[in-house]
Amino acid sequence: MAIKWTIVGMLIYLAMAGWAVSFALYVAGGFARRDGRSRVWLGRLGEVLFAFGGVVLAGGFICRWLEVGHVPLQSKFEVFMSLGVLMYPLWLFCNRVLGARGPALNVLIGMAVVFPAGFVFQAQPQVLPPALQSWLFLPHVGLYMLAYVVLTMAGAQAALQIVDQCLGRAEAACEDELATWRIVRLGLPMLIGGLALGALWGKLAWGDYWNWDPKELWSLATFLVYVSYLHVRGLQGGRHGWVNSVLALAGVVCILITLLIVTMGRLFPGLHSYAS
Amino acid sequence: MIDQTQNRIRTVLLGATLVVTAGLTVLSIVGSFIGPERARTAVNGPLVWLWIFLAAFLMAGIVWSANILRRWASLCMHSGVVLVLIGSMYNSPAGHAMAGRIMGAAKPAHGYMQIVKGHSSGVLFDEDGKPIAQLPFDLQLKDFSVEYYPSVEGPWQLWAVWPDDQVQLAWKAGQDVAIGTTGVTLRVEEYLPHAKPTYAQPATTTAAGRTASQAERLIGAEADAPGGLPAMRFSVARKDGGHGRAWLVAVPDKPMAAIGLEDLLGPGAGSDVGIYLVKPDAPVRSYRSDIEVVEGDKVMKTASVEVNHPLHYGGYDFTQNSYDMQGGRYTILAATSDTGLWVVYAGMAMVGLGAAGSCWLMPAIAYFRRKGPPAGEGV
Repeated sequence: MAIKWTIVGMLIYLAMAGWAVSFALYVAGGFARRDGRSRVWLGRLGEVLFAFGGVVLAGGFICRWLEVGHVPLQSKFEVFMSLGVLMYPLWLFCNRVLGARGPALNVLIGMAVVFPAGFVFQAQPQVLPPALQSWLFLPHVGLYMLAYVVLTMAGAQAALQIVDQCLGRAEAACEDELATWRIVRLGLPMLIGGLALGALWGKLAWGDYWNWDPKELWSLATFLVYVSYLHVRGLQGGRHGWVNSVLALAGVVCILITLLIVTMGRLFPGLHSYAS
Repeated sequence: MIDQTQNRIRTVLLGATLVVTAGLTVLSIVGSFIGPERARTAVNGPLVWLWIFLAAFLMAGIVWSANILRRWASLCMHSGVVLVLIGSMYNSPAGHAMAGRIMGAAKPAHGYMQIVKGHSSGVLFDEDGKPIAQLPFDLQLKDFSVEYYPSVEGPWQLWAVWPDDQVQLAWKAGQDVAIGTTGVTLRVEEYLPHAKPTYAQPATTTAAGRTASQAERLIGAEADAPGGLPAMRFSVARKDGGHGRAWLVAVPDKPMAAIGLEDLLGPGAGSDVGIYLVKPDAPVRSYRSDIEVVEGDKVMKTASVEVNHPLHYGGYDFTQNSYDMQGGRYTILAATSDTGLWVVYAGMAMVGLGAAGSCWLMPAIAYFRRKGPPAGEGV
């Protein structure tokens, strides 16, 4: 674990600090009186800081782009920083349009996503190997990142659903379940788009649209878990909400494995090793 | 009564879909552990019936499910998956083999071509270098070029090299780093980016009236003006208490300096390891094969084949796979048959279109009609 004494590193820490305060404000708002003004103001301030962190990270993303000379989505450091950039705008959409709840949990996820970029992964700029010099680089990786953030937010709703159900808050659990369903439907086409563009790219770069590479297989497993979710939800609606929620959370586990474990270490040797 | 039966069929189909999807998920995960080659072999061998079953199952589902047939997006998505499966089966080595048996035209699904600069070839090889087919045309390598990024400035790399393996050591001055699983740790004590070697004075011995000079013995290095070559002092320690210390000093015109652990620690754990200080290579930016497709005496097509820019000719895609890294004398192209490829692409496009329609468009229409978040609906 090392501190990054660079502009990009400092911007990451600033965003994390903003999000930490935002989280504290959201939590404090949760304990405030339900009909009190302080609850509203704490929530608003928390949201401002959530947005502030997003803007600061976007600044870091631009600085990094200028530093390395290509879209910064190559290394784990860059990918995790970029995932952080997407957190606030996607949360805003999921909250305002799809009825997602639990801002504090989403800020916490944002911090957890950016933490490895700030403290774990090396930020040494790398040159693009020939395979990554393609017009498909940004759309393929970008779509996957959008999908991963959105589906993780769906996982957060699923977790809230399970908690609400355990606490006997049936109405809230029902709302969470519905929000999970809507958010999964937002993310799934992105996941499919990423998979399809990856197949096209694989064909151009390696000659085959499917190479049975561990990363491909885990992406397929992730896709299949969400396909199962859709079918289970289609079969039973929101009746046994916890079953849907468990599947949504299983999808998040697959995402974590695909994103973190598959390209690291010698357990899964494959074509995507440049991403480690 | 009819409604009840339809509902039952729908429930059974959805239940079966879930079982099949769960099975596929497990297979995908197992496949990631066994490695690409074994996974490829399995799906083209024992598991080939699974794909046929899947395609048939999906088609039955589409026909039987009124829910799918009623919704264009859902129909598009499910039909797309069927197309992907059919196209993939046809495009696979097993599909090519079956087509060869039925139609008598043997066309390999995949192979490699090694073409020497200035020469032509039409022979496809498998992974083991065994010839598998002769193409009805030749590819001539007119030229091959490699472009590099500017040389990397920075410390030289440290590698541990076994007779059959090698691993780069992530060294940092003053920190221990393990050498694989040998139980030996290495610590870089000093790194001089610009150094000159220091030698012990050559000794002369006189015996029985003869004088013999020994060669100069390297004992270390000292900092030099910028422009010099690097040197590194490191120590190694074994778990059993054995330890040693040495200098690796780069010399002009050699991209590496090396020492064997056996020289430092004697026989025992890690004694087959060599420690190498290696000049970092300039990374490859791109490599390109200028190819002419020749049929008889006629040049049919010319193309520059690069990674991400394949050549398509005669039912094959030729992608830049590898090359002679010692001197760029030859190129290696991967040749992949395009049979069934467009069926796969069409299927993928349909899945994407159907997913966007089902998950985005329909809910968006519902949202704007109700001016509120859409209620849940089936896939």
